[in-house]
Amino acid sequence: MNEKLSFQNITDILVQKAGVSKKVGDTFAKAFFDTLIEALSEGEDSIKVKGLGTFKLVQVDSRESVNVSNGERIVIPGYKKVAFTPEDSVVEVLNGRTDHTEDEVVENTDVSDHTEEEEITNSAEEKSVESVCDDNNNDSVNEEDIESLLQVPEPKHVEQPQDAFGGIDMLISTPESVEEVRQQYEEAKAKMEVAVAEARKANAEKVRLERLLERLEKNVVPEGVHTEDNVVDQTDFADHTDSTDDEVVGHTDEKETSHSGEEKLETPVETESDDESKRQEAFNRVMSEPSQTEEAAPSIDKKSRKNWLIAAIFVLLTVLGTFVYLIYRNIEAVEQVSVAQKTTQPAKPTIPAKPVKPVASKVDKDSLVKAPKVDSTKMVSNAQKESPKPEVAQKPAEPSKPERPKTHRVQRGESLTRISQIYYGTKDSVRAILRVNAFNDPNNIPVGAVVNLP
Amino acid sequence: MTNKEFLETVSQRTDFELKDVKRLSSALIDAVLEVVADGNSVTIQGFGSFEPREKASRKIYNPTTKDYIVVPSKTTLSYKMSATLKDKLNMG
Repeated sequence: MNEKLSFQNITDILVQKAGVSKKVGDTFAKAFFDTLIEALSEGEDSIKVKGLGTFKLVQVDSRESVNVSNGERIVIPGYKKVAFTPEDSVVEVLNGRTDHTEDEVVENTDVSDHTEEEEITNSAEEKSVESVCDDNNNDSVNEEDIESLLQVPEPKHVEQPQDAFGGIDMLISTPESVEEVRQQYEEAKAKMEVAVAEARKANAEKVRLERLLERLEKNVVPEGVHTEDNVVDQTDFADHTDSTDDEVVGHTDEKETSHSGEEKLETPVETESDDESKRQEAFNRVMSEPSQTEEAAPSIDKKSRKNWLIAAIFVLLTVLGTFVYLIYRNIEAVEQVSVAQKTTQPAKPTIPAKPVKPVASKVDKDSLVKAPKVDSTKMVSNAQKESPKPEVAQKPAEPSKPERPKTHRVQRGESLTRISQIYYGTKDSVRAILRVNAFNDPNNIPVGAVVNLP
Repeated sequence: MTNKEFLETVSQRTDFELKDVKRLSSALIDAVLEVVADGNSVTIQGFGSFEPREKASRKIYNPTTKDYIVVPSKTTLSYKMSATLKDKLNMG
């Protein structure tokens, strides 16, 4: 306790802990602190070291003081210092676990309170509990059977009874409230039954549709993969697959019409075999992605559907992303090219995608005077700067949009800083507020006083 | 500078792998904390000193709810930079 330990003691402990040689531990610890020192003296604002805390460079302003011995006023010059904020975990370690156990105890008592409340409500209103059970049962059934189709109605009937319970805590004491809640419960139950019936209907239809979908998917999934390849890679490979794609699409179209014609699926065996052969055809043609088709084949209804959806979304996003990126690049390239052409006429870059390099190299080859070359590079950099500018200019205009009232009536407990925070989003506008107001005492504004807002 | 950047700089300086640097730095921090948790202070030449500091319990006042809340006393890790580091920072 209260010993003063040095660098050496720390490295000894480090060597023990990490199980490394003394030399390694020593060099590491030295490098660790040297890096900190160097980074800070190079003007790094803050260094975050995980597990320890944040070191921050802080400017201390110069201040006036008095020389104790002769009473003269002196100025203590400002300087920079390193402020350190320990991480929360460090403080926890230093304080042992006493704080933790206290927290836990508090939490436990809270929990026990809750259970007591619940017990009271349970004994008072058995029916409400029944409804909870009903709901739970239905939920579990829904999740298993109806899944995605039920997702819309599900939250509805879970929420309604819960709202009723929220009211129960307050109303429980009077018999009228019991009646009220019962009515609400009755209503909720009726709604729920309707919803469940609807959901069952939907479920039946969904199962039928899913069977249909599964068959169609097996041929559709590889197509989705190919479109992705076409967009992203645009290689020769895509040409090969294009023709097969068309054929596959043709097949699926055929089948879609046939399926929609005989929606009831009276002869599943036949269609199954039919599908089998078609799938085999597609499989053979599209050998390049065997894993995808294999994935699609054995998967269960839900999974395949989900996978397909995810794949579709992914493809859409990538297409959009590349599109936006290309457009952005084109705009930038056109800007750069036009600027470059103005300054150096002999340079005519044919490829718009890489405008900067060709321009520079061509200018070099033509061995023009150095001046235009410098100009072109400057202009290019200007063009690059210009493009982000309009975005920046637009931004500051937006926050001022919400209208703010001209005055504010002071409420109990408020301060000027708080008012400033509310209306301007910063505490720094206090001075501005003070300027347009004439308070007797800015530190003690009476409740109900009206503050003018600049 | 984030923790990651810091560790990368250290690994460049020592020629250790980043993985090892991570392990060693957490061990080093553990060592410092262990020593400080025992109530000792650690002085690192040229950088500064770490020591545990007691913060007394205090009352804080919430002006909107007009409540006084007692914040319990606790120990924190305090750091004081060394004179040499101060000189280094304020040379310019």
